[in-house]
Amino acid sequence: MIAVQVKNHSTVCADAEVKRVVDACNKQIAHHFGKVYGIQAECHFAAKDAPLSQYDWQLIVVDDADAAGALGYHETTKNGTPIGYCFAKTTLKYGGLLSVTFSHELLELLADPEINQCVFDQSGSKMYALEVCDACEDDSLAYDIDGVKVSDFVMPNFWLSSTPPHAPTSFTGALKKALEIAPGGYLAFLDLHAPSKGWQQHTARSEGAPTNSRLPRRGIPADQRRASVAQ
Amino acid sequence: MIRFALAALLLTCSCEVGTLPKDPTTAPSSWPTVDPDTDPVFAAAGSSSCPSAIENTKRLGCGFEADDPAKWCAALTAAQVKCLSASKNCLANSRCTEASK
Repeated sequence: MIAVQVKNHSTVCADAEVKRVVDACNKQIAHHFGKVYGIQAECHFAAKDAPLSQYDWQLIVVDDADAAGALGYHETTKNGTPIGYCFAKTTLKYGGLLSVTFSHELLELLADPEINQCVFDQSGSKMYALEVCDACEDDSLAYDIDGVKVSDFVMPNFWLSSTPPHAPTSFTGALKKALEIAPGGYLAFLDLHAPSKGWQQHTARSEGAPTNSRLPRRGIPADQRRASVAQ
Repeated sequence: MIRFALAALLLTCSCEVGTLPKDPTTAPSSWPTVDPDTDPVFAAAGSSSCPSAIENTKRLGCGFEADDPAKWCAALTAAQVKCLSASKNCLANSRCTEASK
Protein backbone atom coordinates (compact mmCIF):
# COMPACT_ATOMS: atom_id res chain seq x y z
CA MET A 1 0.00 0.00 0.00
CA ILE A 2 1.43 3.34 -1.07
CA ALA A 3 1.07 6.08 1.53
CA VAL A 4 0.85 9.66 0.30
CA GLN A 5 1.26 12.37 2.89
CA VAL A 6 -0.73 15.52 2.08
CA LYS A 7 0.13 18.92 3.52
CA ASN A 8 -1.59 22.25 2.97
CA HIS A 9 0.74 25.24 2.80
CA SER A 10 -1.58 27.44 0.78
CA THR A 11 -3.17 30.63 2.09
CA VAL A 12 -6.26 30.43 -0.10
CA CYS A 13 -7.49 27.00 0.82
CA ALA A 14 -8.59 25.86 4.28
CA ASP A 15 -7.40 22.57 5.76
CA ALA A 16 -11.01 21.40 5.96
CA GLU A 17 -11.40 21.81 2.20
CA VAL A 18 -8.18 19.91 1.50
CA LYS A 19 -9.30 17.12 3.86
CA ARG A 20 -12.59 16.87 1.98
CA VAL A 21 -10.69 16.57 -1.29
CA VAL A 22 -8.40 13.94 0.25
CA ASP A 23 -11.42 11.87 1.32
CA ALA A 24 -12.92 12.00 -2.17
CA CYS A 25 -9.59 11.12 -3.79
CA ASN A 26 -9.14 8.17 -1.46
CA LYS A 27 -12.49 6.87 -2.69
CA GLN A 28 -11.45 7.51 -6.28
CA ILE A 29 -8.30 5.44 -5.75
CA ALA A 30 -10.03 2.65 -3.84
CA HIS A 31 -13.07 2.25 -6.07
CA HIS A 32 -12.03 3.54 -9.50
CA PHE A 33 -8.40 4.26 -10.34
CA GLY A 34 -6.90 1.53 -8.16
CA LYS A 35 -9.22 -1.10 -9.63
CA VAL A 36 -8.30 -0.15 -13.18
CA TYR A 37 -4.55 0.05 -12.61
CA GLY A 38 -4.13 -2.45 -9.79
CA ILE A 39 -2.68 0.20 -7.50
CA GLN A 40 -3.30 0.34 -3.77
CA ALA A 41 -2.69 3.73 -2.20
CA GLU A 42 -4.08 6.04 0.43
CA CYS A 43 -3.61 9.72 1.20
CA HIS A 44 -3.20 10.97 4.75
CA PHE A 45 -3.69 14.63 5.61
CA ALA A 46 -0.91 15.82 7.90
CA ALA A 47 -0.17 18.99 9.82
CA LYS A 48 2.40 21.35 8.33
CA ASP A 49 5.07 20.33 10.82
CA ALA A 50 4.29 16.60 10.83
CA PRO A 51 7.32 14.33 10.31
CA LEU A 52 7.61 12.41 7.06
CA SER A 53 8.36 8.72 6.87
CA GLN A 54 11.13 7.92 4.41
CA TYR A 55 8.62 5.67 2.63
CA ASP A 56 5.87 8.26 2.28
CA TRP A 57 5.18 9.94 -1.00
CA GLN A 58 4.02 13.55 -0.83
CA LEU A 59 1.43 15.83 -2.34
CA ILE A 60 1.76 19.44 -1.26
CA VAL A 61 -0.81 22.19 -1.74
CA VAL A 62 0.88 25.58 -2.09
CA ASP A 63 -0.20 28.96 -3.43
CA ASP A 64 1.72 29.68 -6.61
CA ALA A 65 3.39 27.80 -9.40
CA ASP A 66 7.18 27.83 -9.37
CA ALA A 67 7.12 26.64 -12.99
CA ALA A 68 5.53 28.81 -15.62
CA GLY A 69 2.36 27.46 -17.10
CA ALA A 70 1.55 24.87 -14.47
CA LEU A 71 -1.39 24.34 -12.13
CA GLY A 72 0.50 21.44 -10.64
CA TYR A 73 3.24 18.97 -11.41
CA HIS A 74 5.04 16.02 -9.93
CA GLU A 75 8.68 14.99 -9.69
CA THR A 76 10.97 13.19 -7.24
CA THR A 77 12.79 14.48 -4.18
CA LYS A 78 16.55 14.24 -3.80
CA ASN A 79 15.90 11.03 -1.88
CA GLY A 80 14.05 9.62 -4.85
CA THR A 81 10.56 9.61 -3.38
CA PRO A 82 7.74 10.96 -5.55
CA ILE A 83 6.32 14.37 -4.74
CA GLY A 84 3.51 16.33 -6.33
CA TYR A 85 2.51 19.97 -6.08
CA CYS A 86 -0.92 21.47 -6.41
CA PHE A 87 -0.92 25.23 -6.92
CA ALA A 88 -4.09 26.48 -5.26
CA LYS A 89 -3.89 30.20 -5.98
CA THR A 90 -2.84 29.67 -9.59
CA THR A 91 -5.64 27.17 -10.13
CA LEU A 92 -8.23 29.54 -8.68
CA LYS A 93 -6.79 32.49 -10.63
CA TYR A 94 -7.47 30.67 -13.89
CA GLY A 95 -10.94 29.63 -12.78
CA GLY A 96 -9.98 26.02 -12.22
CA LEU A 97 -11.09 23.61 -9.56
CA LEU A 98 -8.54 22.85 -6.86
CA SER A 99 -9.94 19.36 -6.35
CA VAL A 100 -9.41 18.52 -10.02
CA THR A 101 -5.82 19.74 -9.96
CA PHE A 102 -5.23 17.75 -6.77
CA SER A 103 -6.80 14.58 -8.16
CA HIS A 104 -4.92 15.00 -11.45
CA GLU A 105 -1.53 15.24 -9.76
CA LEU A 106 -2.30 12.43 -7.34
CA LEU A 107 -3.30 9.96 -10.06
CA GLU A 108 -0.30 10.86 -12.23
CA LEU A 109 1.98 10.57 -9.23
CA LEU A 110 0.71 7.04 -8.67
CA ALA A 111 0.78 5.98 -12.33
CA ASP A 112 4.24 7.29 -13.17
CA PRO A 113 6.01 8.11 -9.90
CA GLU A 114 9.44 8.75 -11.40
CA ILE A 115 8.18 10.43 -14.59
CA ASN A 116 10.06 7.93 -16.69
CA GLN A 117 7.30 5.84 -18.26
CA CYS A 118 6.55 6.23 -21.94
CA VAL A 119 4.59 4.56 -24.72
CA PHE A 120 5.71 4.17 -28.34
CA ASP A 121 3.13 4.62 -31.03
CA GLN A 122 2.67 1.74 -33.44
CA SER A 123 4.81 3.29 -36.15
CA GLY A 124 7.62 3.89 -33.70
CA SER A 125 7.95 7.52 -34.71
CA LYS A 126 6.69 9.01 -31.46
CA MET A 127 7.12 8.33 -27.80
CA TYR A 128 4.32 9.53 -25.51
CA ALA A 129 4.70 10.41 -21.86
CA LEU A 130 2.54 8.09 -19.81
CA GLU A 131 0.51 10.76 -18.04
CA VAL A 132 -2.93 9.45 -17.22
CA CYS A 133 -4.87 12.71 -16.86
CA ASP A 134 -3.44 15.12 -19.42
CA ALA A 135 -5.59 14.09 -22.38
CA CYS A 136 -8.78 14.57 -20.38
CA GLU A 137 -7.68 17.21 -17.89
CA ASP A 138 -10.35 19.83 -18.56
CA ASP A 139 -12.51 20.58 -15.54
CA SER A 140 -15.64 20.01 -17.62
CA LEU A 141 -14.74 16.30 -17.81
CA ALA A 142 -14.33 15.89 -14.06
CA TYR A 143 -16.80 13.73 -12.20
CA ASP A 144 -18.34 13.86 -8.78
CA ILE A 145 -17.50 11.89 -5.63
CA ASP A 146 -19.43 12.98 -2.53
CA GLY A 147 -19.88 16.45 -3.97
CA VAL A 148 -16.18 16.85 -4.87
CA LYS A 149 -15.08 17.02 -8.50
CA VAL A 150 -12.20 14.69 -9.37
CA SER A 151 -10.24 14.32 -12.59
CA ASP A 152 -11.14 11.91 -15.36
CA PHE A 153 -8.24 9.60 -16.31
CA VAL A 154 -7.34 7.47 -19.30
CA MET A 155 -7.78 3.70 -19.28
CA PRO A 156 -4.93 1.34 -20.22
CA ASN A 157 -6.52 0.81 -23.65
CA PHE A 158 -5.93 4.51 -24.38
CA TRP A 159 -2.36 3.57 -25.36
CA LEU A 160 -3.20 0.49 -27.44
CA SER A 161 -3.30 0.58 -31.24
CA SER A 162 -5.67 -2.39 -31.14
CA THR A 163 -8.36 -0.44 -29.29
CA PRO A 164 -11.46 -0.41 -31.51
CA PRO A 165 -13.10 2.91 -32.44
CA HIS A 166 -15.83 4.11 -30.06
CA ALA A 167 -14.41 2.10 -27.14
CA PRO A 168 -14.30 4.22 -24.00
CA THR A 169 -10.66 5.08 -23.33
CA SER A 170 -11.17 7.29 -20.30
CA PHE A 171 -12.95 6.43 -17.07
CA THR A 172 -15.94 8.68 -17.76
CA GLY A 173 -16.10 7.65 -21.40
CA ALA A 174 -15.33 11.20 -22.57
CA LEU A 175 -12.49 9.80 -24.70
CA LYS A 176 -13.57 7.18 -27.20
CA LYS A 177 -10.46 6.09 -29.07
CA ALA A 178 -6.75 5.56 -28.50
CA LEU A 179 -4.66 8.72 -28.14
CA GLU A 180 -7.72 10.97 -28.42
CA ILE A 181 -7.31 14.37 -26.80
CA ALA A 182 -10.35 16.14 -25.37
CA PRO A 183 -10.69 19.91 -25.73
CA GLY A 184 -8.57 21.49 -23.02
CA GLY A 185 -6.30 18.45 -22.83
CA TYR A 186 -2.92 17.60 -24.30
CA LEU A 187 -0.40 14.82 -24.79
CA ALA A 188 3.35 15.22 -24.36
CA PHE A 189 5.43 13.40 -26.95
CA LEU A 190 8.93 13.11 -28.30
CA ASP A 191 9.28 12.98 -32.06
CA LEU A 192 11.85 10.24 -32.57
CA HIS A 193 12.60 11.53 -36.08
CA ALA A 194 13.46 14.92 -34.59
CA PRO A 195 14.49 14.28 -30.99
CA SER A 196 16.39 17.54 -30.87
CA LYS A 197 13.04 19.34 -30.69
CA GLY A 198 12.61 17.88 -27.23
CA TRP A 199 9.24 17.22 -25.65
CA GLN A 200 6.32 18.66 -27.59
CA GLN A 201 2.59 18.80 -27.04
CA HIS A 202 -0.39 17.63 -29.03
CA THR A 203 -3.50 19.59 -28.17
CA ALA A 204 -7.10 19.07 -29.19
CA ARG A 205 -8.12 20.98 -32.26
CA SER A 206 -11.49 22.30 -33.30
CA GLU A 207 -11.93 23.53 -36.86
CA GLY A 208 -8.18 23.62 -37.25
CA ALA A 209 -7.47 25.86 -34.29
CA PRO A 210 -6.10 24.87 -30.89
CA THR A 211 -8.75 25.00 -28.19
CA ASN A 212 -8.59 26.05 -24.60
CA SER A 213 -4.92 26.90 -24.65
CA ARG A 214 -5.59 29.67 -22.14
CA LEU A 215 -5.14 27.49 -19.09
CA PRO A 216 -1.74 26.55 -17.81
CA ARG A 217 -1.11 22.85 -18.15
CA ARG A 218 -1.28 20.40 -15.37
CA GLY A 219 1.37 17.77 -15.19
CA ILE A 220 5.03 18.42 -15.54
CA PRO A 221 5.68 20.90 -18.38
CA ALA A 222 6.72 19.10 -21.52
CA ASP A 223 10.04 20.88 -21.80
CA GLN A 224 10.84 20.01 -18.21
CA ARG A 225 9.92 16.33 -18.36
CA ARG A 226 12.84 14.56 -16.85
CA ALA A 227 13.76 12.75 -13.67
CA SER A 228 14.04 16.08 -11.95
CA VAL A 229 15.21 16.54 -8.39
CA ALA A 230 13.47 18.76 -5.88
CA GLN A 231 15.18 20.73 -3.17
CA MET B 1 -8.09 -59.37 -24.50
CA ILE B 2 -7.77 -55.58 -24.71
CA ARG B 3 -10.36 -55.46 -27.51
CA PHE B 4 -12.71 -57.49 -25.37
CA ALA B 5 -12.25 -55.15 -22.42
CA LEU B 6 -12.89 -52.09 -24.60
CA ALA B 7 -16.00 -53.61 -26.05
CA ALA B 8 -17.25 -54.46 -22.57
CA LEU B 9 -16.56 -50.89 -21.44
CA LEU B 10 -18.42 -49.37 -24.39
CA LEU B 11 -21.34 -51.70 -23.79
CA THR B 12 -21.43 -50.71 -20.14
CA CYS B 13 -21.35 -47.03 -20.98
CA SER B 14 -24.06 -47.24 -23.59
CA CYS B 15 -26.23 -49.18 -21.18
CA GLU B 16 -25.78 -46.52 -18.50
CA VAL B 17 -26.62 -43.74 -20.95
CA GLY B 18 -29.73 -45.67 -21.86
CA THR B 19 -30.79 -45.84 -18.25
CA LEU B 20 -30.47 -42.10 -17.55
CA PRO B 21 -33.73 -40.55 -16.42
CA LYS B 22 -35.54 -38.19 -18.75
CA ASP B 23 -34.76 -34.52 -18.43
CA PRO B 24 -37.65 -33.11 -16.41
CA THR B 25 -39.53 -30.41 -18.28
CA THR B 26 -41.90 -29.56 -15.52
CA ALA B 27 -40.77 -28.53 -12.07
CA PRO B 28 -42.33 -30.40 -9.19
CA SER B 29 -45.27 -28.52 -7.78
CA SER B 30 -43.54 -28.46 -4.41
CA TRP B 31 -40.85 -26.10 -5.71
CA PRO B 32 -41.43 -22.40 -4.86
CA THR B 33 -41.77 -20.00 -7.74
CA VAL B 34 -38.98 -17.42 -7.94
CA ASP B 35 -38.90 -14.53 -10.37
CA PRO B 36 -35.42 -14.60 -11.94
CA ASP B 37 -35.58 -10.86 -12.67
CA THR B 38 -35.72 -10.04 -8.99
CA ASP B 39 -33.74 -12.92 -7.56
CA PRO B 40 -30.07 -12.12 -6.90
CA VAL B 41 -29.27 -15.77 -6.26
CA PHE B 42 -30.40 -16.62 -9.78
CA ALA B 43 -27.96 -14.09 -11.19
CA ALA B 44 -25.18 -15.24 -8.89
CA ALA B 45 -25.68 -18.85 -9.88
CA GLY B 46 -24.42 -18.17 -13.38
CA SER B 47 -27.54 -17.21 -15.25
CA SER B 48 -27.28 -15.40 -18.53
CA SER B 49 -27.36 -12.04 -16.76
CA CYS B 50 -24.46 -12.01 -14.35
CA PRO B 51 -21.86 -13.37 -16.77
CA SER B 52 -22.87 -10.60 -19.14
CA ALA B 53 -22.33 -8.08 -16.34
CA ILE B 54 -18.88 -9.53 -15.73
CA GLU B 55 -18.15 -9.61 -19.44
CA ASN B 56 -19.16 -5.99 -19.93
CA THR B 57 -17.14 -4.86 -16.93
CA LYS B 58 -14.13 -6.78 -18.25
CA ARG B 59 -14.64 -5.33 -21.72
CA LEU B 60 -14.58 -1.83 -20.31
CA GLY B 61 -11.50 -2.67 -18.25
CA CYS B 62 -12.94 -1.26 -15.02
CA GLY B 63 -11.48 -4.02 -12.84
CA PHE B 64 -14.38 -4.00 -10.39
CA GLU B 65 -14.94 -7.74 -10.80
CA ALA B 66 -11.27 -8.69 -10.76
CA ASP B 67 -10.72 -9.78 -7.15
CA ASP B 68 -13.33 -12.52 -7.03
CA PRO B 69 -15.89 -12.48 -9.86
CA ALA B 70 -18.11 -15.10 -8.24
CA LYS B 71 -18.24 -13.26 -4.93
CA TRP B 72 -18.76 -9.94 -6.71
CA CYS B 73 -21.55 -11.46 -8.72
CA ALA B 74 -23.22 -13.02 -5.71
CA ALA B 75 -23.56 -9.64 -4.03
CA LEU B 76 -25.42 -8.04 -6.94
CA THR B 77 -29.15 -7.48 -7.24
CA ALA B 78 -30.91 -8.12 -10.52
CA ALA B 79 -31.23 -4.38 -11.12
CA GLN B 80 -27.49 -3.93 -10.61
CA VAL B 81 -26.74 -6.81 -12.97
CA LYS B 82 -28.91 -5.22 -15.63
CA CYS B 83 -27.22 -1.85 -15.11
CA LEU B 84 -23.72 -3.36 -15.21
CA SER B 85 -24.51 -5.28 -18.39
CA ALA B 86 -25.65 -2.15 -20.20
CA SER B 87 -23.16 0.44 -18.95
CA LYS B 88 -21.08 2.18 -21.61
CA ASN B 89 -18.14 3.35 -19.50
CA CYS B 90 -16.52 2.66 -16.15
CA LEU B 91 -18.05 5.65 -14.39
CA ALA B 92 -21.53 4.48 -15.32
CA ASN B 93 -20.49 0.96 -14.40
CA SER B 94 -19.35 2.06 -10.96
CA ARG B 95 -22.56 4.01 -10.39
CA CYS B 96 -24.52 0.76 -10.79
CA THR B 97 -23.22 -0.49 -7.46
CA GLU B 98 -22.47 2.81 -5.79
CA ALA B 99 -25.10 2.41 -3.09
CA SER B 100 -23.48 -0.80 -1.91
CA LYS B 101 -20.02 0.73 -1.56
